[in-house]
Amino acid sequence: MKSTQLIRLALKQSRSDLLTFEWRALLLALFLATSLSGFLTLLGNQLEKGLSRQSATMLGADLSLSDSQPIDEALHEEASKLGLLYTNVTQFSTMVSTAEQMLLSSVRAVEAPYPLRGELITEPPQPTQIPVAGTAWAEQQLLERMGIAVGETITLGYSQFKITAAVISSPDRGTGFRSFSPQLLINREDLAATRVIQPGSRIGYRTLFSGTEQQIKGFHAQLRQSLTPQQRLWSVYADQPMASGAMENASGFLRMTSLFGILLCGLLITLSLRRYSSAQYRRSALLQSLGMRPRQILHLYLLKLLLGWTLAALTGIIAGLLLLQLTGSLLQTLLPAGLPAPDYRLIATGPLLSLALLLAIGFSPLLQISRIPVMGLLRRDQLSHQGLSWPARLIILALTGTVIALYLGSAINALAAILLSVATILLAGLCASLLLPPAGRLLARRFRLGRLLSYRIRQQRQWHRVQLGIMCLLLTLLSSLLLSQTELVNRWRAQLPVNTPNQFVINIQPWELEPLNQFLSDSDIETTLYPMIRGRVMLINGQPPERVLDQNQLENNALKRELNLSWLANAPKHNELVAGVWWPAETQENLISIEQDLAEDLGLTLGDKIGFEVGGATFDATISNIRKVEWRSFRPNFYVILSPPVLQNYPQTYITSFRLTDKQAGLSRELLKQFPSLTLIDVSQWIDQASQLIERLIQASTLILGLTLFAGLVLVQLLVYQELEQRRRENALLQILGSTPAQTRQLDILEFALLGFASGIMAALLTEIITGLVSYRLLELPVILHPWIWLMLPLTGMLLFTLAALISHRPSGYRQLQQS
Amino acid sequence: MTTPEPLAVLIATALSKSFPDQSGGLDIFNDISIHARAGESIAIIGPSGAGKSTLLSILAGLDEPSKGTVELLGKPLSGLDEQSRAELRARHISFVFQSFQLLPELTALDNVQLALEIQGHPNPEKQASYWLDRVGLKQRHHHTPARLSGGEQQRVAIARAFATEPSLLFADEPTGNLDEKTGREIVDQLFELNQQLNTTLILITHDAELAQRCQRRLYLHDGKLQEQ
Ligand SMILES: Nc1ncnc2c1ncn2[C@@H]1O[C@H](COP(=O)(O)OP(=O)(O)OP(=O)(O)O)[C@@H](O)[C@H]1O
Ligand SMILES: [Mg+2]
Repeated sequence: MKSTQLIRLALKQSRSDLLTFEWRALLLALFLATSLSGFLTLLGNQLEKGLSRQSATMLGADLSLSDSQPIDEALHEEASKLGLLYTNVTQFSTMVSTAEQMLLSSVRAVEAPYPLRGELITEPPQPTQIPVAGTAWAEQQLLERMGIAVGETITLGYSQFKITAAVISSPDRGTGFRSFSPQLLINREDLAATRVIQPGSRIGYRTLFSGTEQQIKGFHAQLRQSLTPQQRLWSVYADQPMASGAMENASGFLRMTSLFGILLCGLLITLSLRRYSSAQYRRSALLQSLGMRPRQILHLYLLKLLLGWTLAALTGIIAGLLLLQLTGSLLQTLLPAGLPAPDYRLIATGPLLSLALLLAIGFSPLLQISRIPVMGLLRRDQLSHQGLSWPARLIILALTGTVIALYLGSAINALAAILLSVATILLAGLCASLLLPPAGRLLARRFRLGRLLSYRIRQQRQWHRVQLGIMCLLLTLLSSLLLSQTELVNRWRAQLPVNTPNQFVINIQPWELEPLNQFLSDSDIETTLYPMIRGRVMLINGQPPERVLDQNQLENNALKRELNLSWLANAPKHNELVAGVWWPAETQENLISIEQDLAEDLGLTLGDKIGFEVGGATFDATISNIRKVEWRSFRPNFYVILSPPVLQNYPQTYITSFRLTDKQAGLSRELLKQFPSLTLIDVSQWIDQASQLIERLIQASTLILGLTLFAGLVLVQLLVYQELEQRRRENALLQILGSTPAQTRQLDILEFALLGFASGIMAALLTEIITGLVSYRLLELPVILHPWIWLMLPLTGMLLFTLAALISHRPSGYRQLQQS
Repeated sequence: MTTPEPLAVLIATALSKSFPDQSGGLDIFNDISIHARAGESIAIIGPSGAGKSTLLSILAGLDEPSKGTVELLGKPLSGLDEQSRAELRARHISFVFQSFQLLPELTALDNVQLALEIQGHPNPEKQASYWLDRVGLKQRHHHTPARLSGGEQQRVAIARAFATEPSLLFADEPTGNLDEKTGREIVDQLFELNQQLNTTLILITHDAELAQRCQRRLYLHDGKLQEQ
């Protein structure tokens, strides 16, 4: 037989294969594996590019140096000398207001030239690089949320700005939480007049540099030598991860979510191929009796698989790209800078993964088809399926594992994930199957064929377990995600005590203390103002920390950045002393009240001495008591509070928090009107932004879960179909023995409903465990049970299985008994 | 034995059957009538594809004739709903097949018991056990079909068929899958029970010798049924 003939035969057979359920299931599995893995690889690449490795267009420069202090002029001079171009940016969070609205936003004060790399795109396009003095450019999101348009005026501190353009996209949006707030661009010349920058304000300063690669690399190396702990340096030529752990975790989380889907696809491929190949034995024997050699048959079937794969891969790629578009628009609003274009070549991961899965799993059934003896035509028993040998199974498992390890980029993760999924499926299946016999016995008494139900439950143990395990895991994934999406976030918000402050005011200057206190008490707001001074820990018991602490302790954040220090005569009411005593109000000693966890982490106790540096000056103080702090209370809290003599003479600002009810909303506008330089932070907006990030991620994973669920349903359908096909003969016999067709159908449906019920119960249990763990360990919330999932999940399970059974059900009759 | 005149167990009148087909309809047989009395043994013979099995399924109420009526134990099948027809089968009709048709997951005892349970027998286990002993499978109650020979499986099927004490037993090529000797033993048993229980036996066969042992032979050929 010539190869062209072989191809023609393969094409012809493929067309008729398309009509069979198992071939469709196979193609679907390949399609899903392709689209899922292609999509996730692209998304991962996109996130990685966008967040871990800054491109020049994202940085707006080749090199960016940021600091919490204004950057030394000397650096600028040096950069000039080296022939580098530079520009300064000041960024801070503040409330921007109109007569009606206030919004927490991130303000960037810039000077020309800006940006040094990349492009600021505005609508309408502007003739200048940056806003002209007195005007501002606002991001679309800011305009939308404040309900204003270009041309209107906003208030920022003591100044008014006319919005002259909307920012469509912009480099250099800053890092960390700041970058999630909607942004406003103003001219640096206007900054002083707003009077929002006061000693002690939290400001991000940065200088952007650009030049040739050599210049930048040299300057980078030089800067790195003298970097202070507050300074951060980003270069387009250095491969350092940015502070985007959350996003990296997100990408990993999405990949893990998809892993289950891919495992399901693998299982689906295995089962559909098995079914397909056993249906092909007779045909293979026939082809051999007509003179085709086993080798040619193998080629024929390989060709058919490749044809199927091509179809699935092409559609899978398209679906993967569509998915990417969809998540892109989901995450777009969250990351207004947008995600960079991914490396589209990576889409090849999808088809390659599905091809690898197909060949790893599919080769041995094909080999079996091609080796079927011609005798099979004469004697049926020769056609029966020969189980795979154990080495073959192990090889398939190992190959599949390798494919997945390559996809996940980590063998350990792959192994752990596979083992975990398989173990969960088996364990959940096993546990759920324990529910079947008692439930079956209960039903057996009510239905005419009840006893047969018990027989089936006993006889189909193995299959039932697999089905139960898969269904159970599907339902668990679905419900846990839905619960975490709605309930956990809401509960986290709701558990804040009713009188939790929702407004933070910082940057209160000493001279504003009196009038502000007056304003607040006039408005019936009871609150305390706390002084706040930034300082660094320099010495511990007279020694530099490196000498007395171990490596782990040195990693503590409190040592790596400036701490907010406070001084108080009286103990803060909302902190509880756990050791020592509070100092007398008029003490003259240098004393410390330290937060419990920090003291524990650094191994400090009463009587230990800490040396601080504040604004260039240094001093020592002794720990006199230890406090327990409830960080989630949304009140001003400090790791370190000092006795009055130590700090009262340093320049300082004050901080406070209070609660405004919805009715008092106007008050914050009034406050800002009277004290324009205060920074007021609406915590509820802040929480909104944080929970938005979580919600979006969960939405993106729900998307993946949706596909996974689809794969799972097809798998369940395949299993149900397979079982019902076997049941047709049995049902025919039962009818002969005196049951009605309605009764046999009832029996089938009862069996599957029972499976759905058991898997639902088990899924409810697993969901409770998972959400319990998440709320207890992660969110530190008390564990609560969800009675309704115990109802909903079994019902959903029953519904899904019953539907699958109804769809696959075919009537049986006398004819089923005439053939063996 | 209470009635002097043997009762008519089965009366089929003017049966026709055709299957819908692209070219209008595939006529299997036309205007066939059968009259079977209690205790009678009847062989239906004919070439493959003549419609023997189709006829059987119509006689048993598993399929509807295109035309004609079937009356079982004095009740016209067309007047019965699905439920009553199923009950009629459970009580009065049994089958024996060429390929035994035991449920592979169940033991011999369970297979026989199942039929009795569907029938609603008051004491299915005892009855099943008694019949397995009676067909000579005393030692094999708890074996599954996979562990029984073909002949033994067919004996289980016969035990299942007679345990419900049917008035009418249909056998569709009961010896088709057995060697000559075993086949003869099975047939002996069938006839013996047919005599002892006065069960009407209607069997389909290609085996001329077996057909000869029946009291009547009906030849289905070209859509017609002829008494030979
Ligand atoms: N449900 C059906 N739909 C269409 N055609 C059918 C159906 N059932 C049977 N036939 C056709 O009716 C004809 C008679 O079939 P049947 O099985 O009754 O023959 P048979 O006499 O039992 O043959 P054999 O001796 O080979 O068992 C065959 O041509 C068969 O293909
Ligand atoms: Mg037949």
